[in-house]
Amino acid sequence: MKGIVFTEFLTMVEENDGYSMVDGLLDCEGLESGGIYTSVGTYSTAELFILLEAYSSARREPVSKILESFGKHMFSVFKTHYSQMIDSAGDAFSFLESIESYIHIEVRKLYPDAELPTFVTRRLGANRLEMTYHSSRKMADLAHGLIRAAVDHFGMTAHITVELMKPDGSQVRFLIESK
Amino acid sequence: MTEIDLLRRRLEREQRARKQAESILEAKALELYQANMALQKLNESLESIVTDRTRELEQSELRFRQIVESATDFIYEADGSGKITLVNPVVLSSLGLKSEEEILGKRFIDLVPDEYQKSAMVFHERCVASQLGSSTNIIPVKNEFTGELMWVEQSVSYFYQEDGKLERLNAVARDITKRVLSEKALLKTQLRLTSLISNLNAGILVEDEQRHIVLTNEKFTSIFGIPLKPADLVGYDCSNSAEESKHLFEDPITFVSRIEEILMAKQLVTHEELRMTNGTVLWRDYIPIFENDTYTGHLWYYEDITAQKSQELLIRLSEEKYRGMMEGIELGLMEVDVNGIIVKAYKRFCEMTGYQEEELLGKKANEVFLPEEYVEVMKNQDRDRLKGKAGIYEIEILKKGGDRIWVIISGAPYYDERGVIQGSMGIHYDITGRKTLEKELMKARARAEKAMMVEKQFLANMSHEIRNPINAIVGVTNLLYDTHLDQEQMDFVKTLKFSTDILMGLISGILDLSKIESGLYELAEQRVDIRSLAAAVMSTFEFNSGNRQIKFLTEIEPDVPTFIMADPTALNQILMNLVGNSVKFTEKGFVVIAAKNLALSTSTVKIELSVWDTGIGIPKEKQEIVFENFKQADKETKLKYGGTGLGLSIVRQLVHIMNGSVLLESEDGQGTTFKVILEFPIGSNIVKTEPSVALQSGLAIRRVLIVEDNVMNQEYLSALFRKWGVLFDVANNGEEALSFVEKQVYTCILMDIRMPKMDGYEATIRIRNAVNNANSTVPIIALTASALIDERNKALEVGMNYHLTKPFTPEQLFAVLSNKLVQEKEKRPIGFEFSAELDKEHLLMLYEGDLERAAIIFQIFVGGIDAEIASMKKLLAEHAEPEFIRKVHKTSPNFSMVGLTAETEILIKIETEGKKAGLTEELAEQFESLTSQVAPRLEIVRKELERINNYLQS
Repeated sequence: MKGIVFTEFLTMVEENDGYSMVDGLLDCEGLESGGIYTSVGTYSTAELFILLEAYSSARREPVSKILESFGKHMFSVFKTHYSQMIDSAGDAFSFLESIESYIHIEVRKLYPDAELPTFVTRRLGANRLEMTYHSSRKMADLAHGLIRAAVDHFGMTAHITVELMKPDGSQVRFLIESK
Repeated sequence: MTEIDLLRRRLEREQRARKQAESILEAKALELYQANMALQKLNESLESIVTDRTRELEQSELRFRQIVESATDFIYEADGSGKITLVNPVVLSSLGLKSEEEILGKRFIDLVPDEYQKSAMVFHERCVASQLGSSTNIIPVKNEFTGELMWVEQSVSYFYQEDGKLERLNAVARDITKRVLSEKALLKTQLRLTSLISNLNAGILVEDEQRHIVLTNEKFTSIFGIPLKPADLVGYDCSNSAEESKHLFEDPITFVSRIEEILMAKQLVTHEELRMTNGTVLWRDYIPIFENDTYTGHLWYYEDITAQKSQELLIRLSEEKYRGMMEGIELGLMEVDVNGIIVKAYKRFCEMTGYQEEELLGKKANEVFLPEEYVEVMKNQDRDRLKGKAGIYEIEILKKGGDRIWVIISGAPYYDERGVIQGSMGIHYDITGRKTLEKELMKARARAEKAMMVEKQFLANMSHEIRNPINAIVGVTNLLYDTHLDQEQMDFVKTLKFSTDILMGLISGILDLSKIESGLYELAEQRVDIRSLAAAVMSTFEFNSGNRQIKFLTEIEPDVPTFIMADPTALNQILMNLVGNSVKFTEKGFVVIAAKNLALSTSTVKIELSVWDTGIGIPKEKQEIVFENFKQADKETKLKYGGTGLGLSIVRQLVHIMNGSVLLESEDGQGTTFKVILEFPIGSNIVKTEPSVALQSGLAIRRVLIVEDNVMNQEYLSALFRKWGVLFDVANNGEEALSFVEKQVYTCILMDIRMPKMDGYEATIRIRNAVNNANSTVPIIALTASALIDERNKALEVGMNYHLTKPFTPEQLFAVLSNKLVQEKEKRPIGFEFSAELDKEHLLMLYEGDLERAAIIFQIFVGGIDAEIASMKKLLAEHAEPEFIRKVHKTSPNFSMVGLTAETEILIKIETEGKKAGLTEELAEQFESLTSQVAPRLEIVRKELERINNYLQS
């Protein structure tokens, strides 16, 4: 897991709950890195989940909810750094379709060791897009937040239906319907 | 936790993170530097690589163009719609085209012959639909010029547009016509060979070099008992098959080791003999298969030669046998030339005849060896020989010194190489011993035959010698009965009669049995009507069953043929004895002769003849013995029912010599059934006029009237007629005889002279004078008690025809009855049809075969009837009632004799009712109506007489 995920996560926690919450999370046991993260480093995914669990119990919010918020946060980060990549797509569906065919390719060029999920998109009509998430990391909720943020960004009013395709969460289907 | 602590920790973390990031970035920078260096190097070499590659590409393109231009393979390109856009020169020349223009723009499919177009299109479309990059197929194309087919194998590469539509294709095709044709031919040959091999009557097994089965056939699997189809065996590994099938062979160890040896040697092996445990003998061939000196497998060939082997064995045995015979049997060979001069005499022949060869050479064989009496035989043989015929004959020849020996000679001509007869060769076999034996046997047979004749003679004599005196006793006893005897004397005579009857029966029985047992009973084969025979047997008993209430019936089923071929005497005796037995033991009820058809073929019929009764039956434990000689069920039976105990024994013996079987079903008190099962040839159905029903005796006599008051004589005659199968009636005196004569038609009448009520003379006169009676001319034989010439003459005077003096033997009676004048006139179909206005059937019955008699009777009737009617009318008018009825009684048969049956019946009614209740008005009226209507009826009779006379004259 790229370091930026950790640093941005902690940024989001600090923004929401102050550094004392960050400090609490970083004191958790089982963090191999000892709670030291830099955006250019690479760390074990398990550490992110330890942080998520701890944050979830501190906030009394489900992990899924936190991940979804984190997805929205991440989109805003991406927007700051790569706005031309996002805006060149023109509309929300085109952008979502370009994630797999364009953005991920570009990401891999920069970070060959990046561990990315796979999205399969299918247009089901002018107003409907099916987007299926495949990843052994099982972080579809993060994707959900990203998608929601992206749709909002393009000013689209849309309803997103989430459907678990595999019980372990490694495959999840998003149906995005614009109104 | 204080704010400061928190900040301190945050700072510490950020410092550590910075250091971490710095070290990561340092590493990345190094990496970047190295990559940069490599890139610089790459850039430098890239230029030279591009130059090299460009040059290579140019060369390759040049090469490619040359290849395309000079290729022997077809190369073409087509656009998405299949139109050809490019071809190489070889396409043009191969398709008989002159210029590219002729083909460019055409579709490839247009080159394909019509019948292959559809499948080619389907193939193409399928490839495109599946977006295949390339395909390979074999397809024929037409040579436009010659019209010949050319088979090409083409590889096609497809290029698609982004929307998946075919943009273009290019193809390389090669002319494989020769390959296709030779493959087709090869396939045909292969099919032929495979079917040849499968049907070969030898087991074939082809293995490849790995010993895997390539080909085998049915015969192979059947020899080795493999439960699989030959096709299923292909590919099977045979390396262990010798082990697997060695148990089938007599010597399994050698079988296995020999196969290994053969496989090792890879040398041709033929006709190795193998013996299997099931007796099969096989020939095994091994043929190694080499392709250019490389071993590629081998063929096993198993031929079943069991049949040849056994044939060989038979021939060898037969050869050995004949060689042994030739060596063992002493055959003397001699050769003569066409003139009969001896040219060679072999050793054994010389030994046989006692000569040395030198003594014989140059001499005439016939002069040396031939006794005078065989000159003729030899002349015929010599003649045959010169005609080229061989022959075998037996003669005597003379030895040196004149002794004779019998030889059997097989003579055959021999020829030179041009086929000209050079002489003959004779093989002589000494049969003197056999001839002597033959002579002895002949003598012995003659002796035996003579002895048999003597025995036959003896039996015949016995029959005569014993039966004559007994007949005398019987006759005299019968005569004695006629004398005036007191009661005591009468009892003596009865005892005497009883004993002589038994003695008579016994003697006949013994003679019959001894005849059968000595084989002297010769079965005749004559046409027999089994129904008539059964009826005759029954009626014989019917008249003699006394006052017992027995009904005699015959039940011959309709499918029993009318005529069979059998010995009538034997058949009659069987039925007589069985019925006789039944009658003896049946007090009342039935005695039945039944016959049914068990099996019928075109030429023979198997008949079950049975005789059953409602008599006392035979207890189970006695059934075994009743067929034995002199055995009856028990002693009481003998005392109570009499009999000799020979009857059933004779039945069994007769049935036995007729190749039949007899069996008995009975229960004590429940009646008895005897069943005789016999097979007979079927007699022809051509109706010959049978002179008589009395076939068995040969007497042409249908029915006899015995007129005799002496009970013993009645019985004596009854017994004889029963035996001869002749129907008869018994009248106790002349008066009774007259009433019988009115009712029946007889062939002859036996007439005693002295009788109470009416004697024989008067009875004869009355019969002779009876008007219109069929019996008026019947032969009457007088039975005179003494040989007095007087009595005899008187008998002849009153109209009797013959006489017999009592006592007479059965033979004497038979002789008289055999007299042709006594016997029935031979009946022949009269061929005359009586008028339907008369009682046709009745007339036919009366005059069958004797139309002359019909003419006489009709003449008498026509001549006298008017007067008779007038006389009756007169009597009625005078109210002379008894006279009238007597007259009616006398006249009524006359109407019957000419077929006026209705009138006869009216007259009989008038007579019988008139006698009972007097002549009533009604009867008188009936008579008057009869007479008033009779004239046209009489006219019919007159016309009929005319027709009869006309017929007789023509």
